[in-house]
Amino acid sequence: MIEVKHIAVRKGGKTIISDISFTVKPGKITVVVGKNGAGKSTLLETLSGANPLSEGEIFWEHQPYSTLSPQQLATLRAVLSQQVTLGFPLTVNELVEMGTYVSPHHLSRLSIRKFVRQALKKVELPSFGNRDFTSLSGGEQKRVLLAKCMVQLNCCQQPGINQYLFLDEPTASLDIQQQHKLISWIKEWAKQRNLGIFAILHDLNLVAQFADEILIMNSGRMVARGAPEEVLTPEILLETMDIHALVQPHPVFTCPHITTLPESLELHSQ
Amino acid sequence: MNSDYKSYLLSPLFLGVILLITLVGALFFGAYSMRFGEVWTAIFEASQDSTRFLILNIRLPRILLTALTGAGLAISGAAIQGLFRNPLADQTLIGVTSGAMLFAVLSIVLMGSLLTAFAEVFRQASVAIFAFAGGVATTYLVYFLSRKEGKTYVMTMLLAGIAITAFAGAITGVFIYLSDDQQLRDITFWSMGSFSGANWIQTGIVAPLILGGIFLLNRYAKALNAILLGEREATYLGIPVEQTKSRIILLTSLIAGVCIAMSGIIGFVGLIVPHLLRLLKGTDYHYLLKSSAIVGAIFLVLADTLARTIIAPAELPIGILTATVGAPFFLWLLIRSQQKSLAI
Repeated sequence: MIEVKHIAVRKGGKTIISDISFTVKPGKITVVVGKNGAGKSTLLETLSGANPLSEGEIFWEHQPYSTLSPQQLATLRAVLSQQVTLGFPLTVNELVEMGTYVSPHHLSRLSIRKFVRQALKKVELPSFGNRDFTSLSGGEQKRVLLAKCMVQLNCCQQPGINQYLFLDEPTASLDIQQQHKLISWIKEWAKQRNLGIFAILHDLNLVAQFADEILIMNSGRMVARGAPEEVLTPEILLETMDIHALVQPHPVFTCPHITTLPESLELHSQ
Repeated sequence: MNSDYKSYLLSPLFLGVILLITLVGALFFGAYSMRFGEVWTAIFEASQDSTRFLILNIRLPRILLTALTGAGLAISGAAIQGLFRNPLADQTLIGVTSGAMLFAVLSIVLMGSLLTAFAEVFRQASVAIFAFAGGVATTYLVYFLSRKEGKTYVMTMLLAGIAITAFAGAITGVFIYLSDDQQLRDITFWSMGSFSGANWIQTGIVAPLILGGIFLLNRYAKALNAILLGEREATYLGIPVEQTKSRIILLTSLIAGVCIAMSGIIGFVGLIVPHLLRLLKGTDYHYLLKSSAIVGAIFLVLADTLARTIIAPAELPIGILTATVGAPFFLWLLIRSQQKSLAI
């Protein structure tokens, strides 16, 4: 379990996020939503270890986060970034293999290849190993990066130690079919491996289906927290994200279904 | 597909064999070229003639010094390109070249008049020590300027490097203006690079430094690969990025500083050798660092052999040759590969 306790991050005298507390539990999916500039990315970066804390503390399984080295952190969590630009062209194999760099186990050439092959098969790109990463489409690149995260967590797996996956807008730049595929791979993997997931997402209906717990952020603070049906209400959405919305039971699933509306239709919707 | 055949030819082992052949081959050429029998007798039969002296005390140390310098310049160029994620980068960028140049000129102009009483050897040593100190000190100035709150900002470092290079260039200009004709000639030749004064003492000083530096740099292959994805991604993959950056900068400035101190400014090796290998084989630093060192050594030994023979008994500065041979070959390769592999 990751426990975030009253953390704040300041950069250059400016407070980006403050007084944020929540937990990410193994096997559960925690999603953060909020307007642009609400501090979501800073929160994810901080949780990933890229930003120093100005206040508060994060505990990884009761161990203060500040005592963990980059290497230790990398065996516990992988991060799927929104986008990666390469300094020089790399092949898909070379990139996915980087997931093994931090492994505490000694890996032979053969087992490294096996990890890479398995992960590429999982994201349905089994024949892409020798392709140039920069020549791939946005969706294919995202899948390769997910494969890298899979390799990283799989090769660092140790019995009895929980691992986490952080996702920064994983569905951005994907078409709808790919969005659902990516989300279902991640869900399946998380369930199978009891991974804790922390994700930034924008599509509220995807969030409603995907999340176990939702955090809503506004101006660097956490303004709402709870299960989808508790948080995704017209009042909270209007108050925290300036969204006018109609919330109905989902026609297929048990989660809420949100229809966002332009401001002028507010009265009509009620 | 001939990729198996190509990867065999480009494997570090095969390149190492080519290097060995090049080193031995280079012994035969020079102002006085030799037949196989002459070299054999000179090395293995303890005769005390001038051929033996020429081979063992002049050609051999020079060839080894050249190979070490080529290896050092190429591997530090490869590391700097990776660290800055920039194809235009080489050791010039971190200020080591301009700093070395400034201090070498300083030594030639100021110390030249002070040390006339001493032997030529001392003057040479003074230029080398000044150049090394100047190169490393300037790199550290650039490095220091680009640090803030415990982090090194490579973009700032790139721009600071350019500014410091321009500034050092201007001061160098002042000293060149103040120099007399003989000093001017020394400066010009130093800035074009040469191995003509090479001896066992130089080679003995350089060998452990460069070989040690290559060995240590090689251990950063994973880190350099990961940094290609960006510093943040590298951190996510478990690389201690800040520590890696400062160590690589330290190592490259030491390696490049020693190379420049011993032989003057030899451009182009640090820039094109890594690119050549990237175009032929790809970016993986596990391969790139090792093979850059080997190919850099081959390239510079060939260039120096040409420099020794082309206008014998006189010698051409090697810096002229690395550019005249290297540039057209690199352009040909670039056009042939349709710039595909360099696109970022």
